[in-house]
Amino acid sequence: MPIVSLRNLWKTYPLGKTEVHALKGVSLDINAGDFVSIAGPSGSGKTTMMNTMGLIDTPTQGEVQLLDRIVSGMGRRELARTRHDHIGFIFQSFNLLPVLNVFENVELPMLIGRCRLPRQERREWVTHLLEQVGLTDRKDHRPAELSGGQQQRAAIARALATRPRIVIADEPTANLDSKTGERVLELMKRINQEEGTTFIFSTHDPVIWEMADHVVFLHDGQISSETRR
Amino acid sequence: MILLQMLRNIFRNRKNSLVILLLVGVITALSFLGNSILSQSQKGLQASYRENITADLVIQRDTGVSMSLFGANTPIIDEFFTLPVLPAHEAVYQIALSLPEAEVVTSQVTGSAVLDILGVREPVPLFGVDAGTYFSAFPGIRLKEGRFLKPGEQGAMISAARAERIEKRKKTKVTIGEPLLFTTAASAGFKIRELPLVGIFSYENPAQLLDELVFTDPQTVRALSSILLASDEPDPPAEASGLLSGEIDDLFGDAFGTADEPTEPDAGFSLDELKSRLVREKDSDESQDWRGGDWNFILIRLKAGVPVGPVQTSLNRQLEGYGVRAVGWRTAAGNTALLVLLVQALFNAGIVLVGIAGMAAIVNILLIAVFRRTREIGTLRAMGASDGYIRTLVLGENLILSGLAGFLGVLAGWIGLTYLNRQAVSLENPILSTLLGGQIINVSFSLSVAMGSAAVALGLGLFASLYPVETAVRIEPIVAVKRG
Repeated sequence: MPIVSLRNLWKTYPLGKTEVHALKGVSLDINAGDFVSIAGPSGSGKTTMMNTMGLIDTPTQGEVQLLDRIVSGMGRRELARTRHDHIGFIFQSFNLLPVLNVFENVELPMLIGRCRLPRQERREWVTHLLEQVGLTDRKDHRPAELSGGQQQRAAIARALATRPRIVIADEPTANLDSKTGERVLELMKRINQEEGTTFIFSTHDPVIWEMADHVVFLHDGQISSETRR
Repeated sequence: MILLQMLRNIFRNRKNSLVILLLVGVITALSFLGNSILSQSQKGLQASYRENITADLVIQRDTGVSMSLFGANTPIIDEFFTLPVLPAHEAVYQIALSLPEAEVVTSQVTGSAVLDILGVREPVPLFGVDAGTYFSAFPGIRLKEGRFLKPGEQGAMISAARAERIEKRKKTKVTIGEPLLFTTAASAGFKIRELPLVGIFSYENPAQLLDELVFTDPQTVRALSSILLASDEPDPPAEASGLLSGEIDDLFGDAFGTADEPTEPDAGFSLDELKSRLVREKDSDESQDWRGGDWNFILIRLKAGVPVGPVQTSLNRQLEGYGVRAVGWRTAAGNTALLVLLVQALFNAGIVLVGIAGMAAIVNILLIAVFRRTREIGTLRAMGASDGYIRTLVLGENLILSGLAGFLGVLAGWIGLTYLNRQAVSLENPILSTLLGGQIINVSFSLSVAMGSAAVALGLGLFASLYPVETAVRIEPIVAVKRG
């Protein structure tokens, strides 16, 4: 049973008097617990597809099904709730809030939703996540005081804070050197295996996509090939 | 956490925060300073007028013209305006007396004359008062020498300030029993009255303008103002009015002022004639019922703590059909009190204008701040933050800043006030000193004004935030990726 299902997805952007098709009839199924890589060159539509799956962008045409629910009819509030409860995001530029320290950044997603854990339970969970990503000794540091790799590890911990079923990572290694990038991917893979969380990440780095067990190649807005290992 | 986030965002964007603090703080300080002075002037005026001459409510004839105890409140009209007498005074007086909230009810007739005392002639406003009740209605009027007027007695009281002024000028002491000569000249004729000085008074809440008042008996004011004479005098004899019906040239014909016509040496105006007329008119005044004659006003002092507004409304309902109406102390006090209201309105209009200009600047700063934080807000949206969370975050930051600016503004205003008070600025202008309740500026701290000014700051922050907050709420989560 797929956890994410895309059916004949089109995304068109107006560009002056013409139109640019970022996605051209993409159909894809991603199963729960998959470690999926969306690979392809720049401009192939990777980010558009990730955004659509993450419910932060809407398709021009086609259907997105997430956890058995069709999302096209959802309003702003329901989309926000679904994102909060079921999806974690890891951004290319980390997007940690600069005014909060690492611990607070990881704790934040648990404080902006409807259901809040008791304080003690919440703090224990954040501590556990920071242990998982190896940032216990950096928990009181602000993002500006961390290296790129540390920031991305903090972002991974934050993405996992609400125990989401799916984590979407748009080029999570793009701003990291190759060694750090590999370590970050290894961390994501370990969490995927230990927690069963579905990870969907985009990359154009062959070394990185080789680590995925389900690789989707995009070219010019269309799936050119799909590999499952 | 959200509070922590707000505080840290304020600190992080400290340049913007400082500009907003400064703008809102200055507006708040101005508002606090100005309104403190105006509030002081309100208190000063209230003490000067309400406690000394107007009481809480004044019943006057409903003429459609705003009237004070001194005349019309419109300066141009006042030149040609005669205070109208109250119709059905006794009935209206009884209505006022029956008010359960009324502590003292008294009547007054107003006039003006030229006072001659020890050879010093000065124009004076005359308050003809019901001496039996008037002075108990105004416990702020203190006796310095002599005694208060007695009911029905003919006499006058002058202020200690006037007495001192005359003593300084004439280098002679003004003594009780001194004859005071009052004269008026108007269309109804030339009037002159001599009254003894029975008392010298001062006010508990002094006001230079009120020192000019002379209290006397009502029958003297009526006589000097021709109130009763105007209505009761018989028509002039036919031979007198007949002169007016002929040709105008006849008045200055052969019979008038010809050189060869002998004139009687004793036919002119003599001092004896004047005195005999004075006595005749005085007897005529005394024969009048001083209590039952015409009055211009009924003054009502309410019991302590009774709110004036509801009593005024209820009284005016009872007075319907009598051609009279009850007005508050401010209207009765006249232009000076109304001037403060005008100044207050103008000042606050100015503050509103400054506030609008400040608000435009703050909106601009906040919008720029929101645009700068697009990625941060987009990230929060991507993580599932609701509209309410974003709204609370941005609005909260601005309200914290405005509240702080309000506090600092009030603090700065208070420091300004303290400095002003320490300078002990002396006001020579009598209107200004009456407005501020004394000759030395001493503006006290008012908690209600401080809270009002802080509310202005919060309001400013709130209104200036509305558009930027909605702009922030409209930020889509996708910008978190696009601006990443």
